[in-house]
Amino acid sequence: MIGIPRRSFLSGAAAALVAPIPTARASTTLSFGLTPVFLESDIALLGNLQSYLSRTLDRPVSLVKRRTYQEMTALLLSGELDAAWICGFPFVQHPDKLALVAVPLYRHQPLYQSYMIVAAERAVSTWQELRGDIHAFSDPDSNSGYLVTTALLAENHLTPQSFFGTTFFTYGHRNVIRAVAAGLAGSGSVDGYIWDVMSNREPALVSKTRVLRRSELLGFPPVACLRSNHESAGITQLANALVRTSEDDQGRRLLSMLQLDGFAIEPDSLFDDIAAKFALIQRQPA
Amino acid sequence: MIGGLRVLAARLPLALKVPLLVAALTVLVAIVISQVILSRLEKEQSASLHDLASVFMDGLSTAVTPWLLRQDVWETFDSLDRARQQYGGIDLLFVVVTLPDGSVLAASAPERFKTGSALPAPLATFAASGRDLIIDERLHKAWLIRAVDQEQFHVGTILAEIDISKLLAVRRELLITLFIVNGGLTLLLGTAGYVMVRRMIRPLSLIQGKLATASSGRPQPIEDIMIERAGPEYAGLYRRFNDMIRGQAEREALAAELANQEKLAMLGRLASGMAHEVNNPLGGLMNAVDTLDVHGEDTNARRRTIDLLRRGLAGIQQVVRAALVTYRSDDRTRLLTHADLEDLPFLIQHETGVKQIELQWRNELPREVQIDASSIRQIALNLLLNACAATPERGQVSFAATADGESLRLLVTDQGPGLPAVALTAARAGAAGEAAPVGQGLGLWTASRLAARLGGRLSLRSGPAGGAAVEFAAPLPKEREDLREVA
Repeated sequence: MIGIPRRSFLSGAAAALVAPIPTARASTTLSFGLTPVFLESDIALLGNLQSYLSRTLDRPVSLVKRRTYQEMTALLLSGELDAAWICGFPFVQHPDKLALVAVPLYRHQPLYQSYMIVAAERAVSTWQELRGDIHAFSDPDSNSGYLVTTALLAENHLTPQSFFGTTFFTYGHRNVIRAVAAGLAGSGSVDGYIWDVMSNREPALVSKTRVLRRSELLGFPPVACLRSNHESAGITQLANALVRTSEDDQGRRLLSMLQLDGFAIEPDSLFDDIAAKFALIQRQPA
Repeated sequence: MIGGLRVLAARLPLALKVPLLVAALTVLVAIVISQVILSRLEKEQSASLHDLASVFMDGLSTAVTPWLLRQDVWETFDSLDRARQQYGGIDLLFVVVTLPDGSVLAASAPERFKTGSALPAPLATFAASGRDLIIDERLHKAWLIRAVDQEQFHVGTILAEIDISKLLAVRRELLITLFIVNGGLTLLLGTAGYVMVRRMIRPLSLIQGKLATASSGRPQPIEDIMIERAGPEYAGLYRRFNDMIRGQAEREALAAELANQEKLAMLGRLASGMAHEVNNPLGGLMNAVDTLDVHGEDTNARRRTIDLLRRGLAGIQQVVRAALVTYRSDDRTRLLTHADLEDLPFLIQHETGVKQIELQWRNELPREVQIDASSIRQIALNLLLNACAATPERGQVSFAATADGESLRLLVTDQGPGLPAVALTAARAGAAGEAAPVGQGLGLWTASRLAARLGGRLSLRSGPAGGAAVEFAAPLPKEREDLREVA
C-alpha cells in the first residue's frame, strides 16, 4: 500500500503522455456527475471545479448533482453522464460496466477510511457496545457510510437490523455527523475523509462527535465512466486534466479546497477489498 | 368592621378625607382600566399566538409531511432543524413528530425524544387532545398540535412546544407600567387634592384658631385685611363670625350690667331692710337713753336699761356685720364655712319680720366646704329673698343646707303661689349664659348663673297645692387647687 502514491504518480504521468492533445475545439458538453461525497452546499468549490475542467478540457462542462449514489450510478450506467465521482461500492457492484477514470489522492494515497462515530461525550470504547443503538448510515450505496459497517457486522454474523435498534439513511456524510452531533443517532457510519475535512471546516459541529472505530484503508471514491466509453478521447482528456490538477494554479486551489493532493490513475484492484466486503454481505443469509 | 370604618371616616379631617377619596376613586378607575387593558391584551396575544401558530404549523407540516409519509428519520429531523431557524417569531423549544402509534419519528431535540420511543406524558395527552393550541401560563409554555392526515388517513402528529415568556413579560411589563403610572397619578391627585383642600379650608382653620383662643379668653374678631383677602363666601363667613363675636361681647356686657343692677337692687332692698332693722330698735334705744338720763341713779333701772341698750345694739351689730360679710369688696376666693350661712336669717329679717314669716332653718354643713363662700351666700340669699317675697303673711319658708363628700345642696321652699313661667325662663337663661329676661326673675337668673359658674344647677319645682321648692346642687371638688380653677 505504501507504494501506491508512486505508482499512481507514474500511472498518471503515463496517461498524460498517451493522451492525445486536442487539436480542435470540442463543442459538446462534458457531463460530470457529483454525489454527496462532496461537501454539500460548497458552491465555490463546484464553481471552481467546473471552471477548471472546462478550461483544461476546452469544452463546456456540466456538473450534475444527485442526492443518492443510486441516482448517480443509474445516470452513469444509462450513459447520460460522461463521468461521475462515485463511491467505491457502486464501482464494485458494476465491475463489468464501469471503469476508473482517476482516483483522488488523500494524504498522498488513493485511500481513505470509514469511521464509526459516536457523540463526543459518550462513554463507549468498542463498536460492540453500540448494540441497540439508533445508527445513522450515509447511503445504502456508500462504502464508508454503509458497506464497511454492514460488512463488519456480517463478519460477526450480525446484520444492521439485528444489531442496531433503529437505522436510517441521511444521504450525506455531513448529515451523519449532524445526526450524531444532535443526538438523533447514537452512532453513525461516515466517510473518514469527510469527517477529517469537516473537523477543520466546522470544528464546532464535528467536535461534538468522536471516532470510535477506524476501518482499514480502502480505495478512495473514484471518478468513473462507462467501461465502453473508457478509451474515448473525452475520457482520456478528463483523466489527463484530473491527473494534472496539481500542475496548475487553479487546479492547486481546487485541490486545496478539497484538501486532496491530486488525482492518479489506479488499477481496478485498488477496490478489491471493497469488492470483498460486498461479496461478504451478499453471501449473508437474509 | 364597616361601622369602625364609618367612625374613622367621620373622624378624619376634611383635608385628609377629600384627598383619600380622590386617591380611592383614582385607584378604582386605574384598576378597572388596567383590567380592561390587560384583558384586551390577553385576547390580542392569544389571537396573535393562534395565528402565528397556525402559520408555523402550516409551514412545518408542508415540509414534514412527505418525510413523515416515508417515515424518513433524517429528513424529518432536518426539516424540523431548519424550521427552528426559519420562524423567528416563535420561541420554539422543540418540535416532535410522532407516528400514528404514538412513537417518535424525529424531534428537533433528539436527545430528549429518541426515535422510536413513546412520547412522554403529558405531551402524549396533548398530542391526542384534538386541540391545536394548549397554553399553560404557569409554566410559561404553549403547545401547538397538528394532526397530519393524507387521503383521510392519519399519518402522524406534529407537536411543538414554545416559550411564551416574552408574551407574558410584555403583559407583566404593561401591568408594572400601569401600576407605576396609576400609582403616580393617584399620588399626584391625592397630593393635589390635599393641597387644594388645605387651601380651601384654610379660612375655616382661621375661625377654628379664633374659637380655640376664645375658649381661653375673650374671642377676637377676624382682622379686616383677612376679610378683604378671602373669597366672597369666606368673607361673608368672617363677617358673620365677627358679628357673632360682637353680639357675644354685647350680651356679656349686658349680663354683667344686669348682674350689677341686681346687686344694687338687692343692696337697696337690704339697705332699706337694714335701715328698718336699725330704726326699729333705735326708738327703744333713744327711750332707753332718756330713761338712763332720768333714772340712771337707780341701779336696777340702769342695769335693765343698759341690758336693753346692749341687746338693741347687738341686733344692729349683727345686721351690719352680715351686710359687710356679703358685700365685702375683696375678690379673694374664700371657702364656705358652716358660719357663713348662719347670719343669712339676719339679712332677711326685714322680709320675715314684716310678713311674720316663720323661717325653718336647718344648716347641716360641716365646718368647711370646698366651694366659694361668696357665690353660695349670694345664691342662698337670692333664693331666700324670693321665697319670702312669694310667701303670704304668717306663712312658712324653709331652708336646708347639706353637704356630703361629693356635693353641696341647698333647698329653699315657700308657701307662695308656685313658680311663674317667667321664673323658669330666667333660670334657664342664667344657666345657659344668656342675657336676663326683661322684667321679673332677676334673682333666679343670678342664682342660675352663679350655679352654672360653680358647675352646679338649680332644680325648680312647684307643689300641687302651690308653694315652690328650689334646690341648688353643685359638685364639690376633691382638691383645693381644682376649686381655685373653678373659681
